[in-house]
Amino acid sequence: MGTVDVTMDGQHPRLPIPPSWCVFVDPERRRDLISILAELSGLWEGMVEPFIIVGALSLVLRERLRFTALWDIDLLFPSEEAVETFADRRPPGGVRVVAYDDQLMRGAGIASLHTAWRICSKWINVDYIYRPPFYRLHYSTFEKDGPLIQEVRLGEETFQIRVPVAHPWDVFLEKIISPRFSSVVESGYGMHPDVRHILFLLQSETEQEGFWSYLEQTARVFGLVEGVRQGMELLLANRDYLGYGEFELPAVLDAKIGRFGR
Amino acid sequence: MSFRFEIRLSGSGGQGLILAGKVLAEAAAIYDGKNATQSQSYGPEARGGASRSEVIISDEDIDYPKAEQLDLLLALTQEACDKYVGHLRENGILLVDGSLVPNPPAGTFRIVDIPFAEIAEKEVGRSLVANIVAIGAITELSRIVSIEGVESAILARVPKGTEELNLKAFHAGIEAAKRAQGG
Repeated sequence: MGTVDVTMDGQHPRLPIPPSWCVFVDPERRRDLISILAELSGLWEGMVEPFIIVGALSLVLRERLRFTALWDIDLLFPSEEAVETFADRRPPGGVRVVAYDDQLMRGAGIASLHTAWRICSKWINVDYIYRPPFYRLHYSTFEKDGPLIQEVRLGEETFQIRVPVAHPWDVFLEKIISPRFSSVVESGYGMHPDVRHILFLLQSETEQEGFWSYLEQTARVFGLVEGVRQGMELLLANRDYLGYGEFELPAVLDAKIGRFGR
Repeated sequence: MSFRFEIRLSGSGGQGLILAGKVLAEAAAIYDGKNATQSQSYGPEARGGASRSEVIISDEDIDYPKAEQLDLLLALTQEACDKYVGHLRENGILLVDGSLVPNPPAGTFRIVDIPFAEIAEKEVGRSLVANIVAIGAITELSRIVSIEGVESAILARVPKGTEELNLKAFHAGIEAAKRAQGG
């Protein structure tokens, strides 16, 4: 897998402070989001299998999504029990937590509990998620790369962030084989975040060294080769229908997909 | 005088309600400079079943992020309407598409019936943008977010090349709400 400098403890060059992804967090919420990431940094290390930040925010933190939105924090857990244990623990001092759901919401292939956290003045959504088998995928990369480590200075304050954050290539795999992905594409719903994020990743990663070999090797390990190829083919076949006819993608993409897994 | 406006968007998965909630919250918080929270929840059965998104907009810090007394309830299934209508405050707005909610209950609230799906299909040419039509109607009925703010939030999310279609849907919703109010 390609190296992401900021994940390599002690080996990264001096990072810009604040990191460039902060620009894509609404300024009014920046301090709240960063404060919560700093709090989360102290919550995972005692866990046998820690939560991992997945979803859109992981792509923002990894500097793959470059637009401003109201970002939620999605925490992926290894089991339903781990979600419930985390939900039951006392919030760190200074953090207010409100649960939107009365209980763990179980659906097809997913269980989730939606909460909001507040430290300063703004509420940030923090969703606790169990979604087998994807934890294994993200955890195996986390074991190799370690957590995301950043020092963020905002005004006079400095925040230490040290949290497990999914790698964009794993997020790509998770999204492309998600059971909901094919129905979203077939419905033509181009505003759906999964469609958008996958296209952004194809745009940024297609020509990255190691991307395709990583996808193929990992897909083989998890028995996902057919699903990944079909997902990509489906997306490209429906590109115009989804409204992305003008979205620029690397010219080599068709050939890369054509060769994938063959 | 300060305000707190609570909106719940309810129906079933696939109706674009979560996205609609995000667009409204982003319009308020990012483009209009107000305070906003947005939450989502799914029914316990399965995704694709019940779906619900809540948006709270205020000019002050929001002390509690869950909706308690709704100012506006969008209900796009009869089940969602029946389940949540009791959470509407007196003189609140119950916004429905009558083809999906054939029996809206009477109460001390105002019912506004707008055929979102039909407008999306016939006036805009794409049924998928029914949720954007609904955003337009909510913008007009609530007057809690600016038209410019919502336009910016929509444009930040839609694929390049589909801006016109989505803005057309948004304004079709505004006009439909004006008509529904006799304006």
